Amino acid sequence: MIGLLLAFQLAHGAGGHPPATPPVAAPDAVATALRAEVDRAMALRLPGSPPVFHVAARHDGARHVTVLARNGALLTRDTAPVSALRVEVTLGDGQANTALVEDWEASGIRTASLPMDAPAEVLRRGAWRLLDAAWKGAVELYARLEATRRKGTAPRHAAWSPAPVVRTGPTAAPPAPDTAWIEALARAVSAAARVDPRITADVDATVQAGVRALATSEGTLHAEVVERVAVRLTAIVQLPDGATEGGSRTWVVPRPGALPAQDALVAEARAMGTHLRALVDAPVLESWLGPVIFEGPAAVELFSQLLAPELSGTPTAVQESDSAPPTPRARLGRRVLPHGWSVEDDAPGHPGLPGATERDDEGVAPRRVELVRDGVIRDVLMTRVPREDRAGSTGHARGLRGDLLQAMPRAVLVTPPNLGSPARLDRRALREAAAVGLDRVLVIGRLTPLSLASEGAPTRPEEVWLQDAAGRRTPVRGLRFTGADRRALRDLVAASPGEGWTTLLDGPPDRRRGMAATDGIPVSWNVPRVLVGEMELTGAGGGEARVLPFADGPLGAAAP
Amino acid sequence: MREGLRQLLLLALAAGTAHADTPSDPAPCASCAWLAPQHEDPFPTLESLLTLASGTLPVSSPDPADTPVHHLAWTLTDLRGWTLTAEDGGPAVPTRDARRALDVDLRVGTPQLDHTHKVLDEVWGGVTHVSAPAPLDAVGAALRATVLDATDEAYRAARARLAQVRRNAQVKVAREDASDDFSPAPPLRLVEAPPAWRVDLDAWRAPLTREGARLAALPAVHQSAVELEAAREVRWLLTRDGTRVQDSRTRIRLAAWASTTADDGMQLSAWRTVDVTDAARLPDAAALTRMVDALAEQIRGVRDAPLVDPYSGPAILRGRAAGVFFHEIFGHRIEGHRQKDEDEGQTFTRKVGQPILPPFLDVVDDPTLTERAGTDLVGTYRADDEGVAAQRVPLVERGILRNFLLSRTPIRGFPASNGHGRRQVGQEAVSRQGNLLVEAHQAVPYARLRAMLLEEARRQGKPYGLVFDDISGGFTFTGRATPNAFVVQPTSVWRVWVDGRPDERVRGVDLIGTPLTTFAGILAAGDDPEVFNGVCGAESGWVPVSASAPSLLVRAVEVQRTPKGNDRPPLLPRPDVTP
Repeated sequence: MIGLLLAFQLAHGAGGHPPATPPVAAPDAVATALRAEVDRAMALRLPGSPPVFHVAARHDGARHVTVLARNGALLTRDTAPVSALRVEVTLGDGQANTALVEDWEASGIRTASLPMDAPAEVLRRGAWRLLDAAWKGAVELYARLEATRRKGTAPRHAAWSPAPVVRTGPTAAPPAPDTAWIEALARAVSAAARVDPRITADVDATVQAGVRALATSEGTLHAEVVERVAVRLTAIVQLPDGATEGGSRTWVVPRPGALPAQDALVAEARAMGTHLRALVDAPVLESWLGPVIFEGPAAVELFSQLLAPELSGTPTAVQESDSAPPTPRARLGRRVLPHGWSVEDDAPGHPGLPGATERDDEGVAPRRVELVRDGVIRDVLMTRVPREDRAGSTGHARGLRGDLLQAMPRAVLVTPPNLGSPARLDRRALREAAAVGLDRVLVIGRLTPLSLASEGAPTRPEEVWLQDAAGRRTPVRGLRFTGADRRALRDLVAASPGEGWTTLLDGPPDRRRGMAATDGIPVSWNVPRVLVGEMELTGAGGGEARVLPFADGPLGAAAP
Repeated sequence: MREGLRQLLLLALAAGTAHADTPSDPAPCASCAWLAPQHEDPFPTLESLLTLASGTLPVSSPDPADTPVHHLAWTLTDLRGWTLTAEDGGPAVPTRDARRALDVDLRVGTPQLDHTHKVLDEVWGGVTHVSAPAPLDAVGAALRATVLDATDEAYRAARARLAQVRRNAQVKVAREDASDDFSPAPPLRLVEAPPAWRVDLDAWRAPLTREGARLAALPAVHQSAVELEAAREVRWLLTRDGTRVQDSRTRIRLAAWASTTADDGMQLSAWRTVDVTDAARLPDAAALTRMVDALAEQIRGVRDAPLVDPYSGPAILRGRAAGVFFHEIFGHRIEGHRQKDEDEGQTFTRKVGQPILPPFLDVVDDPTLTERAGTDLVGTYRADDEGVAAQRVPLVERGILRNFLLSRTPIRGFPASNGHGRRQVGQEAVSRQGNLLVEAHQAVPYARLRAMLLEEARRQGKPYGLVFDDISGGFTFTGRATPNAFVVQPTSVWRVWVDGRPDERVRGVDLIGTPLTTFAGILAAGDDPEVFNGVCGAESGWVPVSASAPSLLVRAVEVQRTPKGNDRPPLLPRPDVTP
């Protein structure tokens, strides 16, 4: 089909403007405007239609600067402000309502971008339009709920957890993002990683600050300042046999001052580039079946990728086509780790972490949750949507834009029963290797972040070495996991101290892959360095060799 | 997000031949400085890389199985956009955008058969073109890396593709049109400075805020926006055969848009736009006020207008509507590459020298023309995206088909480009329209045309004729696997009764048809040419185009019900409107 249009290409989302102008409507005024429309929406009803049970409206207004630099030169700069409204209308009552039901064609959730810097009446008009559409979707969704009742597949437990009404406002105005600072950082870090002309290094970086406002029909009026800085370095080296290998680094912090100094980031980028350069001479390891050490960021990714889905207690939404109630995603009593291991989520105990907001997306304050004790799931993270064996929000409702809110971790601490020294863990690994006829152990330092991956968990190793009894490490390349899943965590045989809190960008359990580089929800992990008793990996190299020479010499704006 | 006002990034080409690489005047406002920065000349870097690449990539080979590069061109494009939008009654908020892209046009094989040759019965298309983001502000080593990486990728992809082309040719029947895959073109030297900005764009913030609030306050309006968009594209193009082009395009659009929902759930919208290619010709704020007034009247009228049933009968297409009508049903079908693609319907392929339109009509495509009927043309350019000088192409003379729109992909009987290879940045160029102009040798005043409409309706026994006086766009199918139909989407339609009742605004119909039948029914033309400026989407992406035509009386058009929403209008009154 060939088309002709009067106009094209949405400006919003691709543009930007100087970020220093403060919002026109004050944050509490935004919440109040939303509240007025939320209250009106409670009256939405036609003869015979189900009653409105709950209405929520959330507005995210933020200034940001997002840049992409490659090899020291700036490729894109996006300063378009964000003004996003999400509304959710729930029909029914506390025992059965549409919050538990999912359908391809109907939804009580709607999202839209609103005009930036809008006065209250413009916000109200936007909310009015969106709430009307959400209500219509919820009415149709209610028919699916009725169908599940007739079929007997509707949940038998209560459909909504009460939560305290809160009225809080932001304590400070959000700061204006510093365009020059983030640009200079991105240029410097991407340039530093290119220690060899065969390397292409990208830095995606964003600094944002704004106010999240929430209004609910129960009376909650909450607004808080939300800030975030995310810097993602990804690099690819082209190898002589035509293969490519990648590396990545991610820094996520709540505000610019919490980011390591630029010199430290540059040094880290240079180290990554040096590792990639070393892969030029590294052999392809075609097969590995034996013990594997996960250290540093690889250990964090391992736990995040394999354990996080076991911690989200949000019940799987009921669909009309289901013949039986769905099995809970995270099962109490399931063994996920060996004896003696424990896991807790303690956002209130670590308020400085990027994922530790005052309130979750439903306005509930996060609480500490003891999730795993002695290797077995004892509790799960919850939103206000209960399940048969758990009710009451833990303050972990989080979501991306128009998705159903789901319980997601915020600040997860993984504690082994015994924490030995790194050397002791290495010795144990070599003993495990010797038991299966190997004289070295495989060490993985990085995994491709799941949020950037196209494949499932666990993702491709990025930094891998064979380590001998003397501690000497030889880089190898080309490896991928074969047949590994969450059960690998039950085969943890030793642990040594990790690197402290690390923050990843993640998504809800069913939306964790293929995100934009600086997109996602911050989740912090504190995990030990671990030894898995046995894992299987296979390796391959090769490709089509480069024909043209690589560009040599210094790159970037200052280059001649 | 509203579906209304959108940003135009591809712009009309400015003129000039002198060598220059920076604007001559300082920009008068901050936004203008953003749109017209100082550009460092990238040609020296690109020239040195061209030498390097030419010495590294295989250029020719006696071995027919080899993979020589027979053509190499790079286009570096700097795109800058600035938009001031007052949406839904909010204050006018500026957004801006900047990016650079490198397009690699590399052909592997021979001009007779190269990797761009169509692979018959291919399920998934292969890579034939590579584009890469380029450094915003660097023309040295960072640009070198971009160019070498992208060119290497393009060469390896093309080499693989050529093997597929050769194997495909062995097992498929010969094509009807055995013309070459690529035609030579004389080297073009066209280097010109981007013109300076002379208008303070930032001064529009207050009028846009005021008029946006006025439009949004209308009770009938559900969503609305007023907007000023300005964009500039600066391009550096060089080819291995000696072409060097540096040029720029500027486009500014003042626009207003509003939408509402009728009681039957139909989503209705209306637009008003003014496009200029020189900031100096931007209308004043009073023009915006008039646009909003007209839009308000239209949105009120169309919301309460009756639906019209499917109908076949006489109709007038006013100038802009007639322009789109010709763009869809004629323009796309005379694009050269469709004449050799055997998946295409090839409506006109074998009709050169034959009558296809009434003898009182000519059709030309003239990208060198900058305005018509007092309106700037946005499909203007002096060099196409393959580095060929734009040409005025007489397509139809006195109703007789004479020519096609040609890129550097030749077709049987038409071995050379006429400067119509166009593309959106990042796409591979194909033959496209620029400024399509319909010209009438016999024209009548509009009042006479309207009288002829009523005469024709009476003759056909119809109670009314239709007048289409504005449109939002249209689309057409040109392939063999689908009906060769077109759709023109009007936003303003009037019913003109033969019994003398006042003209009546109606809603809810699209104009549909097939080309040959519809052309045969053109009865007369008005003396009132108008211009539609818009963007056209096809294989090579979105390109700015203009279509101009006089009003046309057509013996019989068919209209069908337009798609409509089914949601009730909002249940609750708008928060700022007392019920």
